[in-house]
Amino acid sequence: MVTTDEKGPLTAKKKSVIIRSCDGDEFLVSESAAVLSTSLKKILEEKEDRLIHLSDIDNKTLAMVIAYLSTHADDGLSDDLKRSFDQEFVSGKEFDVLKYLVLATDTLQVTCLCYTVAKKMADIMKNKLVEWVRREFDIQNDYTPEAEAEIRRLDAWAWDDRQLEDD
Amino acid sequence: MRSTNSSHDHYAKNPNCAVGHFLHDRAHSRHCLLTGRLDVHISTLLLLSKPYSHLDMCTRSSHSRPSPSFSLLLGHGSSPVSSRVGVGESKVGTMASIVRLGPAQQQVYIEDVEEMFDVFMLSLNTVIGDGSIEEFILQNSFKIEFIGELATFWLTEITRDNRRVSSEPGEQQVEFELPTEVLALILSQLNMRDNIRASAVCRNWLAIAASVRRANNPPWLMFFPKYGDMYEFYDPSQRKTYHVELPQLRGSRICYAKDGWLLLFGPGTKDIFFFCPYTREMIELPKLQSAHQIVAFSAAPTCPNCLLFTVKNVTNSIISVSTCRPGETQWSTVNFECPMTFYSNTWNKIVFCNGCFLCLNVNGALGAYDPENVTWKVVLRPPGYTHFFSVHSSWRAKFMAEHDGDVFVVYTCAAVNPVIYKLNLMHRVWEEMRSLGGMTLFASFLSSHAMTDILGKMRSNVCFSKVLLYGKHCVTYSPDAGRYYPRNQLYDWEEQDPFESIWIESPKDPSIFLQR
Repeated sequence: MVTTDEKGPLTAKKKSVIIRSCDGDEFLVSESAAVLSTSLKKILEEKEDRLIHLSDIDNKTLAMVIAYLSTHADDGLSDDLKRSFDQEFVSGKEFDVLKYLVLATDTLQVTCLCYTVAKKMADIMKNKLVEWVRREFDIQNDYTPEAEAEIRRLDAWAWDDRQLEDD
Repeated sequence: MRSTNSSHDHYAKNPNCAVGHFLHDRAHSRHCLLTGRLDVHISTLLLLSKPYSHLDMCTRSSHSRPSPSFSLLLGHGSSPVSSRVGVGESKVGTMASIVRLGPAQQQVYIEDVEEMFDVFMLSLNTVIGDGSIEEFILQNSFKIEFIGELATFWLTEITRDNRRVSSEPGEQQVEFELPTEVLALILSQLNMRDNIRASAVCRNWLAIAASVRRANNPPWLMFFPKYGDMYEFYDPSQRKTYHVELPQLRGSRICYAKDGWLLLFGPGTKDIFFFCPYTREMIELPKLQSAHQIVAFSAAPTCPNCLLFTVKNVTNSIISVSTCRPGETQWSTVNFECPMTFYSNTWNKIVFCNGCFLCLNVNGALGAYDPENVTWKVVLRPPGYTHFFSVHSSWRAKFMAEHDGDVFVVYTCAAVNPVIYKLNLMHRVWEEMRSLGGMTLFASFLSSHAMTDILGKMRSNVCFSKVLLYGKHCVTYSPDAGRYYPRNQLYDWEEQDPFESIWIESPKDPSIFLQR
């Protein structure tokens, strides 16, 4: 295979990298896919080593991100196909999965996917009870009951009679 | 964080490995600020003199940006919340927020840590007060978070014992925390109603939600002059009126408005065309014969899925639907035999919803045209159909608007207050709405808009296309209060000239439009 990559002197030399998740699983990724992540690209520019250890991304999340990167690095796919891939990529995923995915895409600076996931999370959060959000994000309520009541009173219309969901 | 257990175990088994990776990654993440979180055994901090220099450089580069900001967050475990302390100028940055929690369970070799945290001493001292940093670190497990401009990295220092306790089932409280930027990105996608409710989650969320809260601009009301080329635009948010000369529109009358575009028809020339009053762009369409009926369109003519639609009766039982796309040379017409009579006349209300054109006729029956499958059917009878002699039979002007797949109809007459219905297509019923719940309906005769996230008194109201009090207030109806404003009286909207005014999306940059 002839390398026609012109992304830089370093990237031209090597074709794939190994990315290791925090639980020790290793993924072989083509360099053209890896450099779609701004963070990985910068590491590769500075580093001779072909092994990148991501100490805060678990194997399942990393596998998803790599699937995304590989699809988007595939020149044989049209932009329309990639767009529909993006939509399918986030649809049907559990909120819990998306949480780690958004964190991982932010860490790896995969801006486009980060945005798509964030949007999907926001879609799921619509019409949800505050208690649901606290539970899903594992957040302790640090308001005093008075302070929280005041927030609800200020914009009472946002807590109108429309049904709010708790699951 | 889901991965923390396993990663911790990994490090616990082989702390040196963790150190290695830590330094390895850290060394290359100076610019890219890689790594959301690092779980490091406390002893690894001994080796942190190296990253120190990187941090320093990182700080400097961030200083060269317009608004350098660093936040320093101390805490441990699952709930790094309590007080936030702003710290003034330090070598690190301009801001630090510090939280301390819980007792420590681990000894630290202070000297090295101090070297590492030399840069942060100022901030730390502010929080620690009289105590020394040694004591502080001895007493607290800690976590440090730097929020740079692009990304976040933070070192998590949680003692082994701590983590082991917290990872036990039943007592689990495995921490998950999103960096501020990511949370802001998510919250910025919420509408105002969900954003406000998100701000009740906790104090931190309140600050972030408020910083990304966005309001929509209400549409402008465009007035068509009886004579001359001077058009009036009324901005209800500023309560200002602008006058603009548009000679291009001479001899034509308004059909429909959507997405900042007007559809106009010349009764004399049979010309039908799109016009954007803000850019003065004009898009011509094939002539439409006998356009006595209203013509609607699905999206801005610059969109690939823009489709024009009009419907009329050929006979009592035959409905004729004409459609056209921008760029086509003629209108295509399909006739449908309609078992259920649907009287179509000039004052149909048409909206595009979920791929179909919905058409409300003067009696209140609703027909649907599906352009994809080329079908027409009458889907719904008027609300209150069974009470034929009730007050509902005297409904006069109707307004229909679409929002996010929902369809709303406002029934008005001069005898009683307006009634608002929401269309439930699934159960084929009209559901009466007692409140708009934060939504605003902008009702004008030919086309109406439903919008959320409108600030001020227009929220939860129906805004009609009439301005009173010398241009200071458009007539609104509040379902919550059950009355019109500014005057508590009833209006007969049927009496208004349908071609006199229409709501149109406000210009993105009004100043450019007005300077022309």
